[in-house]
Amino acid sequence: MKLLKNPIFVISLSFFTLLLLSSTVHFFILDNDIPQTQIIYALDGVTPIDKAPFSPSSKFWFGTDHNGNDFFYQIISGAKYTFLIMFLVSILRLVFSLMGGILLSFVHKKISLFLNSLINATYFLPVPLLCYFILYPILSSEALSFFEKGVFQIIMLVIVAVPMGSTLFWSELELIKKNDFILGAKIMGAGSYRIFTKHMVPHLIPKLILYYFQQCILVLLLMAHLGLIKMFFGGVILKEDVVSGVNKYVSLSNEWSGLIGSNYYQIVIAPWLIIIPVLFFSLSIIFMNLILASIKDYQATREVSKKEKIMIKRKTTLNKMSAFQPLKKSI
Amino acid sequence: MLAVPHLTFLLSVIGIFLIGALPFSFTGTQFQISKYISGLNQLIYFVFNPSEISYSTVMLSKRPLFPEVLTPYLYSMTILTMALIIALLLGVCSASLLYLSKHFRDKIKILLLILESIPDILIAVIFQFFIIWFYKNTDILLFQIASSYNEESYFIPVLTLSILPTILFTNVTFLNIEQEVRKDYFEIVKAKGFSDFYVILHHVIPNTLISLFYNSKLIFWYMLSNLLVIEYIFNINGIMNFLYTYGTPEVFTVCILMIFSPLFIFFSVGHWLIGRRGESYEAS
Repeated sequence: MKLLKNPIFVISLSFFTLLLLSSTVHFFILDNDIPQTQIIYALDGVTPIDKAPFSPSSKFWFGTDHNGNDFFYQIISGAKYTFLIMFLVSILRLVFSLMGGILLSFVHKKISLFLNSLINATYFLPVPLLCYFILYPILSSEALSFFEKGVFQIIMLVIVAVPMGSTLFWSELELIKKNDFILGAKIMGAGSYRIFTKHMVPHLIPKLILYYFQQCILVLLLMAHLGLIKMFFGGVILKEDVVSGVNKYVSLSNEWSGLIGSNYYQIVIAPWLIIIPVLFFSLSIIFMNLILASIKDYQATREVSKKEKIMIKRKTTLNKMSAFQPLKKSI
Repeated sequence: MLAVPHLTFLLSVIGIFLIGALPFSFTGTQFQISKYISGLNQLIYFVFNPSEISYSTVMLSKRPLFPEVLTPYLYSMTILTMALIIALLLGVCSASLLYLSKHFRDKIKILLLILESIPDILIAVIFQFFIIWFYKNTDILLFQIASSYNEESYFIPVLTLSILPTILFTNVTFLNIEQEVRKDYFEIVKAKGFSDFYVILHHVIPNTLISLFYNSKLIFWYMLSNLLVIEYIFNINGIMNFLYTYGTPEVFTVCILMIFSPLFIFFSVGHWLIGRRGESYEAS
């Protein structure tokens, strides 16, 4: 595919595949183990030289946190949760928004305009805060399991975006419906289902792909914000830090937003604990944006080449026709 | 639908109510419609009796919401407006300058794309680190990084909040300028002998402003989510921090209404002012 020849696309895609691959390797082969070193001893093995947290060095690539957990492994271990949540939530958002958009296009126009205005108000809602209010009692309760909390959070993240997505797809569908060929198909007698599958879907698919990647970016941003206000995936528990006795919020999974939120209080003491997950988030969002841009370019070039092909075809037929013109006009 | 702004406003308010009542309706992971409806009733009651809304935490006694909330609200709104104006001015200026310098014109797009994708957390964290590092090395506290009880800092929040919108405005303006220069009037005015700079200043920018207005909805949304991060990181007593600390669903809904109404008025007035001239520029 032409996309794979685009170097930007390949680099961005390999960033994600590399992280996801190493995360799965870590989970299955290394058994999700995070090495912990609390105190470094001198060569004799008795006298302590330094204690956790350790800053990034050649021994600990990303340093360690207060308990001595190697941060590099924490990041790798958390990558799979972050990316899997991102992929899953984006796909679910896509599916449900599409269904919502199709539903909206079946109702009477006045009803859909009414619903449109209703939903447009929610555009300025600060979504992290809304999720905070809904998720807080769930995520801090001890009665629910990790899996239940995770599923609930995923459902919540999908629901907050479906109304806006539905109106988006509804307006796209209405735009496609205005084309002449739809009217032509209707006159020829095509039913709604056939018009939809054969005529509207080919125009929808590029937009679906763009929507998917845009949602990936928005989900990453939302997760970063939620992690900052301590809504961790899989639950928040208040743990007492063994060494210093400070209460800190710990996430049950090592997901990146959880890493940011739980280590935030030590931003001055151990800055790498904040900067590194934030950097990884930023890199993910940047690479996702580059993927989005390269897909947009690819779609644009596909359309251009189609038109060029048609122009070339037209030119050649014209040339052929002119070749058959009589040289002289005979009276 | 903005042809009938009163109706749109009413529907938008209803939409906010419907969403704001969601936190009431969950017990555990079960969604109960009875609780949702009772939550809606509670919200409606509170909105018509705003003096009765109160907020409290474990350590704080009950306090009435109004007029206590107006301080953080106005603080946040000031920061937002100032940041928006600065971002708009800087964005338009830098986009024009970027377009006028033929050297940068072609190479800037990828850089702008990368800059655009930087999340707000990174900017806020970097800013904080920079100030702390500067203080450690030079013993000068650049500006108040975090607000204390009575003193409110404006410079740092506005600066941090305006960085990303500037980049977004630059991007949008740059693309618009590129579109505008392909139109006929540009060639005509240039053929009359005016310089690039003059044309951009007097003809292109006013046309791009209309398109900017339609894009500013997205930028506003981005700034609101940016505001949450900045208020949290810099410990500013703004409306987002207020909601985070003292939030209950009715407080949340009322504050959202307070944020939403000026924005709605702004967009309606803008639509009305632009009128029929802007129909060709409308994004969607």
